[in-house]
Amino acid sequence: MSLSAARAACLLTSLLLAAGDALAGAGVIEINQARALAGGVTEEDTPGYPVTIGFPGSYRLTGPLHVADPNLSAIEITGNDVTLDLNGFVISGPIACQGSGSAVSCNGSGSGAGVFAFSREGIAIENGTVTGFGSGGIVLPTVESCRLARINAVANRGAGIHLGGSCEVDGVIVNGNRGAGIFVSTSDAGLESPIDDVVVRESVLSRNLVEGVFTTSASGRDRFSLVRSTVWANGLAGLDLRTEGDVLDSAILGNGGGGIRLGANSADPDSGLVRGNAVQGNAFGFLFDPNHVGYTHNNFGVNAGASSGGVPIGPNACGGDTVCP
Amino acid sequence: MLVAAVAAVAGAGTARAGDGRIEVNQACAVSTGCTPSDTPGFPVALPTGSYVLTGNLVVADPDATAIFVTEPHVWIDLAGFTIQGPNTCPNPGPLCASVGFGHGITSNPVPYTTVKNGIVRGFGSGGIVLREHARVENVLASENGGGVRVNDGSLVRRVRAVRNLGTGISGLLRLTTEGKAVVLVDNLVDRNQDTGIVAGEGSVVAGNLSDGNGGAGIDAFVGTQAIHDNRVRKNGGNGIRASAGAIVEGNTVTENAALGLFLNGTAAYGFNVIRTDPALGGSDTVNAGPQNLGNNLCDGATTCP
Repeated sequence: MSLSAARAACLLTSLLLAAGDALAGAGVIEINQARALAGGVTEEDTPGYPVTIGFPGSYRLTGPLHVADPNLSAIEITGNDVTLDLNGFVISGPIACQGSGSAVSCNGSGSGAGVFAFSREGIAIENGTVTGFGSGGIVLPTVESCRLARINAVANRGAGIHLGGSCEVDGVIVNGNRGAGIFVSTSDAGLESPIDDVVVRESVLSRNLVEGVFTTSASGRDRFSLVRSTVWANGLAGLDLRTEGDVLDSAILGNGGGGIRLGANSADPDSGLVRGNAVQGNAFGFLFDPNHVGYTHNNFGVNAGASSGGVPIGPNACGGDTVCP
Repeated sequence: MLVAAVAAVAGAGTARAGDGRIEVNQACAVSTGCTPSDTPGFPVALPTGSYVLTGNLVVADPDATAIFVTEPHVWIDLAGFTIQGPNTCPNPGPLCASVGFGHGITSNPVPYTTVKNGIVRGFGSGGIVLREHARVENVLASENGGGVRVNDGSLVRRVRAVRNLGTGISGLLRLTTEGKAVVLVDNLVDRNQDTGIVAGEGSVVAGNLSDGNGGAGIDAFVGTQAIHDNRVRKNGGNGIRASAGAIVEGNTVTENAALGLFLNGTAAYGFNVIRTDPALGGSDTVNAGPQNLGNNLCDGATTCP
């Protein structure tokens, strides 16, 4: 072999080895049931549940996780800047919930969550299912800058998804939970920024026992936006937003409470825009902050009770009339 | 020596390629079965789990299904590969025939199936037919009996449904009482022989392109929907049909063979651009009766019927 050929072979081998390291997931830390039970997934992780993720990095499930103790979470994130790819697998807890909407019932309770983090930032979770947990499917009560994508949060005793900081939620299916589909608590405890913006787009929020979305009352700094989503057949209100908010291009149908409550429960003025929605078959169509929610180009269709509040800033359809209350 | 080193590295890569997901390919489908509960031959039966194709699947029997989902919570990553059946719909060419009863991917009556990232082509009964709370993303469904069909509470995003014999994408599995609360967004639905997109009650139909289908561009004939920002052109029926309580906003609806918008009297529309082409048989921009919220352009006029 000539010197140049040997160098070329050596270089090629080095490149392939480097590629092999990448394929091997160098830097991506694997999580599965065996590793969870053994401990040591990360430096601070002890045997058994929860799996503790304490360092920034990229983590991937390589198998399903099942937690038998209703008071334990499957994964607890104690570090910042963590990306968790569920890789199509299911994280399941021991609680079985059945039924839909106002008939959802569960066979137990507990304080465990599928994935839990508190006072962290930069958390991304994607591509999988979380079911059967007492506290909720994904519970991030005070997490800034999070992202959830392609998550199924179904049949949990608590909320499907519990948020509390700025978060982008894309393409999730949240169905049949005994709590709200998405619960947003607006406590600022432990957060660097007091401004929380949650955006949910292109998602299905259906058949949960209470609200499709519930946001707790805040001091006018928090905002919830729903875009191109369907909120259907939840036991109480479709959307009960006690913060500022926008509801755009969505369908809100058949919920046991009102269709959209926005700002009307807060002591502070809450502004919002409600545009381009179909709202039909709910206990009532809408209840808005009287002076700070503008609505236009919605079809409020036929709902059981009367709607009130808000400022029509353009035409809407209300039960066959273009004049809303 | 170099060959040996490459082989060793490639072997290590292949061993890691599964990343815990179960591989599905032609070899296991035909010879061994791809899961413990799967027997050799099609269909490949998939219980709860996460799966990834590691090669194309080719099904020769027109009555055979390629993948059959048996339990809830199944995720299938097609990883860019094709599931190929024997049906063909040439373009340009004669109308395609539905050959056989096979599906590309279908399921027991179980919820929560996700299919993403690949091609399903040539199945006489349907490309992808799933039940409640399915998710289908980044898929091309072509030359099937129908493209993609799902049921209540499903998401269909960034799907291309092209030259299927039936409907391109349907949110109604079988009955008009089904198909509630389906989100159908950012899809391209082109040259299917029947309707482009069918949606049921409580659905969101947004950002789609529905072009050159044999029936309506978007047919939401049952329930109430939010229909936004779609481009609907040159379809053989109505551009968009919507029923009671629907909102139809921000759409461009041009050159369809029947009405541009055919709406129930309690549906409402605004911010649409609608243009008919009498040469194609287009009768009018909008039927009489629905609630006009303004800001529409109908055949060049800002006053719509």
